[in-house]
Amino acid sequence: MAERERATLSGPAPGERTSTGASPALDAALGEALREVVGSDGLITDPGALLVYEADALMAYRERPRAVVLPRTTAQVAAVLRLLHEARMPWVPRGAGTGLSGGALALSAAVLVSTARMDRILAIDAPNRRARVQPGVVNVRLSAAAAPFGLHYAPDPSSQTVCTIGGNVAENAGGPHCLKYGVTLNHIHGLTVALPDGELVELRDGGLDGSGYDLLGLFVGSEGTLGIATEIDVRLTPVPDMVETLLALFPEVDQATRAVSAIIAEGLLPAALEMVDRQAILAVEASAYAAGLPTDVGGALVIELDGRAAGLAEEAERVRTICERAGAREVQRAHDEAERQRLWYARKKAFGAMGRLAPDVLVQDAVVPRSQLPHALRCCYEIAARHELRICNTFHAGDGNLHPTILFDRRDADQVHRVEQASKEMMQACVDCGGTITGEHGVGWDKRAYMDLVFGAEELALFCDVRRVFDPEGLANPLKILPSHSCREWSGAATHFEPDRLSGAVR
Amino acid sequence: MSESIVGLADILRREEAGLLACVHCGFCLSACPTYTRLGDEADSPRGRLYLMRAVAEGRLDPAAPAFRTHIDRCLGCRACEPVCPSGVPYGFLVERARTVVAEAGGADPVGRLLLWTFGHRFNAAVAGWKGRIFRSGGFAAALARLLPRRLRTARYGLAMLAATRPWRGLRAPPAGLTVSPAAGGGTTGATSGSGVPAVARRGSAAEVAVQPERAAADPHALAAAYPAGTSLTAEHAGARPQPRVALLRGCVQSALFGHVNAATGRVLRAAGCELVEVRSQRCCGALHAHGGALEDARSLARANVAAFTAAGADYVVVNAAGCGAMLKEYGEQLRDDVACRDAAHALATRVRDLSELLVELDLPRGAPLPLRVTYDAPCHLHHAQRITRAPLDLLRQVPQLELVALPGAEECCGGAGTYGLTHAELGGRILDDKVDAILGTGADVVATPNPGCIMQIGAGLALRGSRIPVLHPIELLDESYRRAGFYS
Amino acid sequence: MRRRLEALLGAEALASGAAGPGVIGAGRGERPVRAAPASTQQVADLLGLCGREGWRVWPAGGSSRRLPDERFAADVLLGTERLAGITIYEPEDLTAGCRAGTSHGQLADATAPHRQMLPLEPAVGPAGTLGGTLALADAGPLRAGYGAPRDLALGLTVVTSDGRVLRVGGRVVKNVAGYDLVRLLVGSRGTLAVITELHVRLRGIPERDATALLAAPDAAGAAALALAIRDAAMPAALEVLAPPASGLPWQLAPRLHGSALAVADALAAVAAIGGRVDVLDPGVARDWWDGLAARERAVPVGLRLTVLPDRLGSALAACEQFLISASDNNLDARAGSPRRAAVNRSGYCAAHAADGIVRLGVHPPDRDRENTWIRALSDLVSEIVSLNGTWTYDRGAGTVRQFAGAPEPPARPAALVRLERGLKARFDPRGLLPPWEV
Repeated sequence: MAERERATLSGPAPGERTSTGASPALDAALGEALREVVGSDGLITDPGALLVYEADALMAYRERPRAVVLPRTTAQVAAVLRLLHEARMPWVPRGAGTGLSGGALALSAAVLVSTARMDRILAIDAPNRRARVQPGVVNVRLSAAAAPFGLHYAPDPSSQTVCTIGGNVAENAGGPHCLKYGVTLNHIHGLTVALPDGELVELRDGGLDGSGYDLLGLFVGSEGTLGIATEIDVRLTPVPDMVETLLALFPEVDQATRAVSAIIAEGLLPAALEMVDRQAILAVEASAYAAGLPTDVGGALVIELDGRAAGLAEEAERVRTICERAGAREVQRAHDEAERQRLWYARKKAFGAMGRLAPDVLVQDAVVPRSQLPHALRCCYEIAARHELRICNTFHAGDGNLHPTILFDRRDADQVHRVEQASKEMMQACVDCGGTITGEHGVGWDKRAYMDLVFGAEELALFCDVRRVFDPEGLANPLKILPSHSCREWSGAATHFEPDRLSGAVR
Repeated sequence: MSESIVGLADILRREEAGLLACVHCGFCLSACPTYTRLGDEADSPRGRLYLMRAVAEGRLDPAAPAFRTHIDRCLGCRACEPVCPSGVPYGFLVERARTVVAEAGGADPVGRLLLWTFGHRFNAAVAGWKGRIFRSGGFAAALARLLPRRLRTARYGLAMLAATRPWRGLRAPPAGLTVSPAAGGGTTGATSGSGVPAVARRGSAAEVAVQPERAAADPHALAAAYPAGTSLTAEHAGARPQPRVALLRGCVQSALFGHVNAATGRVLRAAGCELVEVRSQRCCGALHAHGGALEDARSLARANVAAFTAAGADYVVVNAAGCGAMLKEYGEQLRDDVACRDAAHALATRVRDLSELLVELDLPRGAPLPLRVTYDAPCHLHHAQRITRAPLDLLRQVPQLELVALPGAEECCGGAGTYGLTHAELGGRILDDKVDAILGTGADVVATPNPGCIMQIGAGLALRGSRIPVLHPIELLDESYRRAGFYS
Repeated sequence: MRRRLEALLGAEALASGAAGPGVIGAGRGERPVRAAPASTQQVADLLGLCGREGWRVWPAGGSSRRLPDERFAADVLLGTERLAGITIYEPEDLTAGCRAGTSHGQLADATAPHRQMLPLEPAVGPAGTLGGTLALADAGPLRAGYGAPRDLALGLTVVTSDGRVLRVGGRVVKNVAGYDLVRLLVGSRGTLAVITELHVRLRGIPERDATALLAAPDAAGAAALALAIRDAAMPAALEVLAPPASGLPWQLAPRLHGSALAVADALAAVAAIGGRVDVLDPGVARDWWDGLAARERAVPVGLRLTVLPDRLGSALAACEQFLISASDNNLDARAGSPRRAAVNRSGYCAAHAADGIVRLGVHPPDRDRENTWIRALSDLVSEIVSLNGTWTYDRGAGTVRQFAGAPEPPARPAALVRLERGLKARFDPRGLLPPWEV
């Protein structure tokens, strides 16, 4: 028993004390200056307390930050960044830390700037369907606050009960309902941004109409490398009058993906078009959320249509017909909210259910053109089989956004190696059929190595150039997004600290 | 690292499976009352689990201030458990962490005193007697109001004591609320519903703050956790018609809430139950477990397993949410005790929360009680036992009782045992939010089935100058039956 | 120069010869040469040569929207007439890839048989190029229902003024790999790089496409009605038009897309709000929208004013006031006649009501009336600013600026200008493409 424990929980064997790999301590004068801005409870420097900020939702890497700052206002963020700029101290922004690409990892012994205390909804302007929020507002809380006005905030990443709007902006987050409603960028009207030198700028979507470059579009999805959004003007969307939810069960997974293509080709625009494969159904049915689905199907589609009540039922029937033509053996249509919830269980509970199938789960994120879905999915299965790995797939089929989820056990070093290999091959396969390496999780730290699969040296160099315009000193979220070889002027800079690799963890 | 410290880390190292189950997704953050107020991830479930893991890995000294501070600051409300996709047994783990904290640095004196008091029958009896004398005649309440504000802890403690006093208004309805002669005459048991105005129905807007589904993806919200028309098997598990039941009297419950135990007994009998007296029962040990005194908790648990097993009742009924959650976990608590393990598991399966059992029985219909009632869900009922609807269904049995939704009903009130005394500032903020929500409902009465919550919310309301009483739901049902003449 | 370009690109590339009407001579005393490369590679070759030689390039595209600005002395006009055609179209992807010189009409012809469309109807009409639409972020009324060009552009191939070929974005509808340079380049007006290829998102052609016309007595009433229609009917387009002549009612044109049942229901909702509603026959509706675009094209000076939707009434009223004050047959008004002058003589005013975007088209004044006209314009824009709105010259800014006291949009914050100049310098280090200001 003891032997096994030592092999599983990382770190030194019992009785042995080693360095915890802590970052260098914060300079006392800088600490004092920061405390003056955010108050004494707004700066965390205790090495023990800093441990919890070692990683975000990607557990493969950890690096303890030098300190954590918790500002409450735009002015405080600007003042904090100004101080860090003066000290040439790298910093990393952090929202709820739910990112899956290691974007909030505090590399380079950086100071973490957390938006957790910036959680106020500043205004809801129902007539203009807008809200102004601080970046730490939790996604679902904004929708709840808008509900009395018949409005909601449409982008709904699966972590929406906890992820923040600021984090959504940094990652340009998606979600099941982005098929119809668009991703985060399509719902942002404006931002107040603190630049890496502490200067504040307003980025407006007026840029679309000829008053300058669309810096708003550039900023959204820049993963905290261009500045920190300190106030966000979002678009609110009317809650649809009616929702139709269908669950189509297919004997073969290929038939399900073909049905997706057929629905899209018909020009129908469901609010959500989500796919669950056989492995995922098995997982859900074995869990507390069993929805009574047959476990001998190859794949299931959850299809949601919304909009005006008139004509929606007919549209649902059209979808049913398309599915049946594609080979569906059964199409269920929800008649009330309870049934609707049940049909969604297969999709929504799949991730948690899969997490209980194996000690470790790696969620990948890739996008392919929708016509390539059947091919891409086959490639993923084949790659997994070749590496003797179990995978499940639950994903945003309507967008061609795959999430191959690899089940493994980090205690098995050989298996970990195969997971890394398979991940890379899946990325390559998706790129080969015209896709890309991430649709909504971001590049962060984890996917830098894959950037070469989709971009050439010129593009990568230009990305560096763009970054340098905003952040000449390279202080904002250092080392993220871009492979180190892409930035000629930066290589050899003093900001290189490789993160501590969790023993036995994936990449 | 000293030998004893290595030993402490072992307590957590043994919980490897539970600790590694956390995949660090962060879904628990927004459910955690301390994280949402402090914004420091070390005060979130994910952060605390990470600290425990660091101790287990030998990367963090169990005596480190960070470990102690953040583990201590946990309310133990377990709101993180229902939202955890990986099923991390957080409540169980944090109890182990508290043991480590206590062993490494000593528990706080207030907590120790309380555990000592309730862990011993004689002490509990003495304390209960003193407390009852002190609260009688409204003395505690008056003193709480009179003391200067800077004596915050003392005022708060007195107000908590005052909140345990039975509410006289229940027996004498407020002016303007008259009992309708048709239903209030105390004729027969099962009065029909005729002439009784419709009250909030199951799943109606009055029960919960209704949100659009997408907004309410928040699975720990009362509204979302319970879409209308669905049922959770654990909650409506079916009971035989005339069960033999043993009541857990509870330490705080019998010391300060004798009237609640009395009401419970009356209603159970009216519902056709046969009550089995279990004299040798002890405190359930929940307070000890939460406080990190695991060995004490286990010895109390063993005593109770023996006592209740010997009684041979069909069900062990518990009317205090915290005790119920503990009894249901006896199997886990005693998992390493080969002699007692199986009996503990068997007993745990027969434990029922009072509401859980009553909604399965064919309850007679009592007299109207025209009150606006709002329900606050105790954490150890809602999150730990996942019983969300039964108490509401029970209150709906009372004719003319109007249920009004309490926003954030599923969030902790900050009581959490001695939290209000040990973390006055943070506990006070959490309590203030709860009191604000209650005052916003315009309710006449707050109902909540846990003594700690009754005291906490009662103290919060009193200190804010409100006279809204806080009752156990069974007191309302009991009064309805009394007015219907069931006991005469 | 001409010879060297010919040698590089072939004679056909320079066949279109003349730079076209209205082009002012290049700074070096020569007329600029119009060159039309036939591939991304040729664009790269051409720009590489220009970069080495320091020749200035005006990305002329199809030359259907903007004429070269005289303040930018171009040596080469880069046309995209030979850079046309659809490169990839899989109906199941609901996306299409084209070369930049492909016209809206060409793309529509290819996608219509599959009942798909690019939901952008810029005023330029079907002959306009897709490259131009994206470069100018030129949206039409359908932006209410389908979003702006940046929401529909998925990937671009661009060439910088030193000949770098950059492929940004991609073919897929969700993509967060690297910085979103697609958004930066869309609407950058050819100041950063030249778009040579593009990939766009398509949508299904709705089962029914209905346009209704309603009347409102005044600007405020029209704006209020528009908001009510926005909420009740979720239109794909929602135009508010100033009356062609004063005394006539304002006009609203909601356009509804969807299934036949949904559109019928939405039309009923519109009728319930607006009273008398004329639903146009499909052919008539087509002509109506084309006519709207034609009117917009016909007016030489264009302003774009943006306010929050609930301030649209005040903005429209201010526009109406300007049109009246600026009207050159305003004599009756000045004489105190109660009959106000016709407003259509001096321009027109239309708004994408759901987005709060007002387009004001005006004819420049006669010389003797310029003071009155400029004063009226200044009053209008200061009213817009006081409504917390923004405004800009959409076209014909040069024409206005020749009058003394012509209003200028508020100065942009220094930090923004610094960022924009920095970006410009990284894309176009030698400044061989036009600056933003022209």
